[in-house]
Amino acid sequence: MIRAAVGLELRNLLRSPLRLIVLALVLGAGCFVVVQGQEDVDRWQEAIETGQTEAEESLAEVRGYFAAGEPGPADRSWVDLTQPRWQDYYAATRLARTPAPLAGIAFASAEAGAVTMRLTRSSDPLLATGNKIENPALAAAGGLDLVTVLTLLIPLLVLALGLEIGGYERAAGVLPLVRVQSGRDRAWIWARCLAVGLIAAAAGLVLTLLAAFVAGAGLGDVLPLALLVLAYVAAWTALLGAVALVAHNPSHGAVALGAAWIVLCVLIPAIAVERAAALAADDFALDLTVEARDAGAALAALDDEALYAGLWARFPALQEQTPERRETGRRAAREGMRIVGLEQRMAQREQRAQAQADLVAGTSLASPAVAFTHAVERLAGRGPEATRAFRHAIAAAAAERMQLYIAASWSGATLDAEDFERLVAATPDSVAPPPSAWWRELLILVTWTLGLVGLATFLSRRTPGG
Amino acid sequence: MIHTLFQNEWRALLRDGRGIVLLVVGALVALVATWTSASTDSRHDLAQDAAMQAARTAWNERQVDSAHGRAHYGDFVFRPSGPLSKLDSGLQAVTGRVVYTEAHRQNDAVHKPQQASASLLRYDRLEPSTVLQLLAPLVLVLAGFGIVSSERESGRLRLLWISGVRALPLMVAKTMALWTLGAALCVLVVGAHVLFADAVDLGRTTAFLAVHLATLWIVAALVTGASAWARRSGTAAALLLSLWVLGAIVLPRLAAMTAAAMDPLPSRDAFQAAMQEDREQGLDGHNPSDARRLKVEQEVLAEYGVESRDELPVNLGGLIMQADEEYGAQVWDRHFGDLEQHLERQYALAGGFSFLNPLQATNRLSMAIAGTGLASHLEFLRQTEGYRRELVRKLNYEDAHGVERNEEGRMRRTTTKEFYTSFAAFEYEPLTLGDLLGRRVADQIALATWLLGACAFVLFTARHLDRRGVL
Repeated sequence: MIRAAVGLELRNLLRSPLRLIVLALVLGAGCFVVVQGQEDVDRWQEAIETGQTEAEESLAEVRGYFAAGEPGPADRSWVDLTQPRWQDYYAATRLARTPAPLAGIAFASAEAGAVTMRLTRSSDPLLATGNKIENPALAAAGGLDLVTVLTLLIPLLVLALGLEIGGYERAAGVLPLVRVQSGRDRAWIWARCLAVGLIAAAAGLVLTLLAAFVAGAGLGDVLPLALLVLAYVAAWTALLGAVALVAHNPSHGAVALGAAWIVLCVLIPAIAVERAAALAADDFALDLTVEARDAGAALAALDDEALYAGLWARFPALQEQTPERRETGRRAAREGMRIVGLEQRMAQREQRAQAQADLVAGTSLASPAVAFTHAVERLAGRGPEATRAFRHAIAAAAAERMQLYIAASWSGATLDAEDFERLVAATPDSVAPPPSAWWRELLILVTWTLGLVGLATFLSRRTPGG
Repeated sequence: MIHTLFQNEWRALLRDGRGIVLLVVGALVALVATWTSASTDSRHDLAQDAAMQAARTAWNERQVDSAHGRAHYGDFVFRPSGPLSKLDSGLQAVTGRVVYTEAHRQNDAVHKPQQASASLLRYDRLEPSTVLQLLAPLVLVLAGFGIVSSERESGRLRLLWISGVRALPLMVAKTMALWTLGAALCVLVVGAHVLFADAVDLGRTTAFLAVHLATLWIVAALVTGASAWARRSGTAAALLLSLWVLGAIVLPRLAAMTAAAMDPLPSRDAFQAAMQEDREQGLDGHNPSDARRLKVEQEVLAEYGVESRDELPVNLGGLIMQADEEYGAQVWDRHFGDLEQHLERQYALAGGFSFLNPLQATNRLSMAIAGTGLASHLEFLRQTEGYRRELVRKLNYEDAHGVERNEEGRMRRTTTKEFYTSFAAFEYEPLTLGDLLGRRVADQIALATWLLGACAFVLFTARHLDRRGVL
C-alpha cells in the first residue's frame, strides 16, 4: 500500500504545477541560504584570521623591542616593557571562538556574540561584541537561513502536498471503494500521509546533506541534524494524518492544517516572544553599567585585610607570595579584585538569562517548531550557550593573566623577553563550541509524533465513516 | 442594495460557527496582546526612569574630581521606548538599550537582554501590531476564503442573480463585510490601547488606525476576489493561506536577506580600522610628545602671548582635549554618517518589497508612526552623540578654564560640586509624525498602490462575473 501511495503522491506532485512550485521554492530557498550561510562562516573565519594577524604583528613588534634592547615604542616614552602592565598590554593575543562545523545553517540567529577578543588582564567578556555590524531593521525581520527554511517551510511543504488527503476521499466518496479494495481506509490515508512525509523528508535531507557538503562537515555532525529533520517531518506528517483522518472535505482539511501551522509556528512562539519581552522589560543592565563603573571606587575604600582576603580567596596561589605593601602592590590587588567583580556580574547575568532559557525550554514543549529551532541553533553553535562558553573562556584567560600580572608586580623584578613569551604561551588562542545537547528536543519531537498518531487514531474511531 | 447584502453577509458570518469562533478568538487575542504589551511597556518605562535616576545619582554624588577625569567617568544614556511602542515595539528587541557616553569615543548602543532567548527572536512578538498585521489578515482569510466560492458551490449565487443582484454590489458588500470584521479587531486593539495608555498621542494613534484599516481593506478585497475566482473553496483556502504565509513570513525575511546580500555592511573590524586610521591623523590628547599636539600648544601660547605653559592662565590639557574631540567628531561624523546612510540604503532596498507585499509596507509605516523604526533608532543615536559632545565640551572647557594660579604660579582647580550637579540629564526628543512619514514616502506610495489595486481587483472581478454570467 505504501508503494502505491508513494507512486500516487509522486504522480500528483508531477501533475500539479502548484505543488511543484512549492517544492522548487523550498529547495531553491534552501540552496540559496546554504550558500549564504557558508559565506557568513567565511566572514567569521576571516575575522578570526584578521585578529590573529594583528596579534602576531603586535607580538613581533614587542620581540623587536626586546631584540633591540629598547623599552618600547620611541614615540611613547612612558611605555616600559620590563613592567608587568605593559607586557600584559602588548601581549595582546586574540582568543577566537571557533565556528561549529554547521555554523552556516543558523547564520540569521539573533545571537551575534563576539567571535574573537583581544586578551589582556582587563578584558571584559560582557562587553564583547560580534564582528558583524547589524542593520536592526533587517535583523528584526527574523532572518532567513536554513533553520528558518527547515522550521517554517518544510511543514508547509508537508501541508501543501497533503492538503487534500482524507478530505478529498470523503468528499468524492472514494473511501468506500478503498475499503472494498484494500480492506481499511485508515491505512490508505496513513499511507498517503507517509508518502507525503517521505517526499518532505527527502527534501529536508537533501538540504541537510548540501549544507554538510558545503561546510565540509563530518558524519558525526550531520547525523544529529538529519535525525532532527526526520523527527520534525515525522511530527508534521503525524499532524497531517490526524487532520486527514477527520477532514470532511479538502476545504475543512486546508483550514485545519493552516490553523495548526499558524498556532504551532506563529502564535505559540509569538506568545513566548511577548513573555521574553516582559522578562527583559526592566533590564537596563545597571549591574553592567553604573554599578560596575562605581565598583572601582568601592574597591579603593577596602582596607588591606579585606582586600587581600578577597584576593586570596579568588587566587589562592598568590598566598605563597608576600604582597607588595606599597601602593603599586595594592593597586595590583585591587585590579585582581575586579576579576571577582566581573565573575559576580557574569553570574548575575546568567541568572537573569536563565529565565529566558527556561522560557525557550518551556516553549519547546508547546511547539515542535520552537523545539526544532532551538536544537538546530545549538547544533550550529549559535545559541546563547556558545556565547556563554566563550565568555567563560575569556574570563578564565583574563583571570590567568591577572594572576601572572599580580605575581610579577609583587615580585618587583624587571621582566624580560622570556617572561613575555611565558605570558603569551599561558594564554589560550581558541575556544571550541560546547557540545550541543539535542537529545531533549529530539525526544520532544518524537513525543509529539507519537501523541499526534495516538490522537489521530482516537479521533478517527469517533468520526463516522472514519 | 449594498446595505442589504452587507447585512446578509454579517448575518451569515454570525450564523456560521466558524465566524463566531474567529471573531471571539480574534478579539480575545487582540485584547490579551494589547494588555500584555501595555504592561510590558509600562515596566520598561519605569525601569528606564529608575536607570536614568541611578546614573544621575552616581554622577551627582561622585566626589569632585578633575573635569577630564569626569569625562572619562562618563555618563550612561538609556533608550526610551517610542511614543507608541505599546502598539508596535518595532526594533526594540534587536537594538541595544544603553549607550556609554565618554571622552574620546563614540560608542554603540549595547545590551540586548532578549538575546538570551535567541531561538525565539526569529519569531514575531504577540503585540497589537502583530495582531493587526499578521493575525487579523489571517482571520479575514479564514473567515472569507469561501465567501463567494461556497455560494457558488451551493447554488445560492444563481438565486441571487435571478433576484436581480449584480456582481459589483455583491462584491462590494462582501468585501465590506469582511473588512468590518477586521476593522472591529482594529478598533478593539486601538480602543483598548487608548483605555490602557496614560497619555494618548491622537495624531499617531489616528495614523496607526488609518494605515491598518487600509491594509485590512486590501486584504478583504483580495480574499473576496480570490474566493470569486476560485472554482472550489478548498482551492481558495490553499491559495489565500499560501499568500498569507508568503506575505507574513517569507517575503519580509527574503527582503531583509536580499538587501543585506546586495549591499553588505562592512565588518566591525574593517569599520573600526578605517575609523582608527583617520583618527590617528588627529591629535593624541594623552601623548605629550605628539607633534600635532605640540603644534596646538604653540598656537595657544601665541594666543595668550606667553613663552611657556607654566605662564598660561588656562590648563593647556583641556584645550588640547577639546581640539582632539573636535577632530574626532569630524572623523566620527564621516564614518558613522556613512554607516547611517548605508543602513538607510539597505532599508530602502528592502522597502522595494513593499510593492510586492502590502503587509511589509504596513509594518514599516506602523513602526515609523510608533516611533520605533530605524529612523527613530538612528535619531536616538544622533541625539545621544549630541549629548555626549556637549557633555565633553563643557567638561573640557572647565578643565581648561576652571583653574587659577597661586602666587607661586602653581595651578589649582576651582571646579565645584555645583558645576557637576548643574548638568542636565539626557532627554530624548522623538521625531515628529510628519518627519517620520516624510522618510517613508515609498511605503506610503506602495500602500496607496495596493489600495487602488485592491479596489480595481474587486471591480475587475465583478465585471468578469457579470460578463461571464457566472452568477
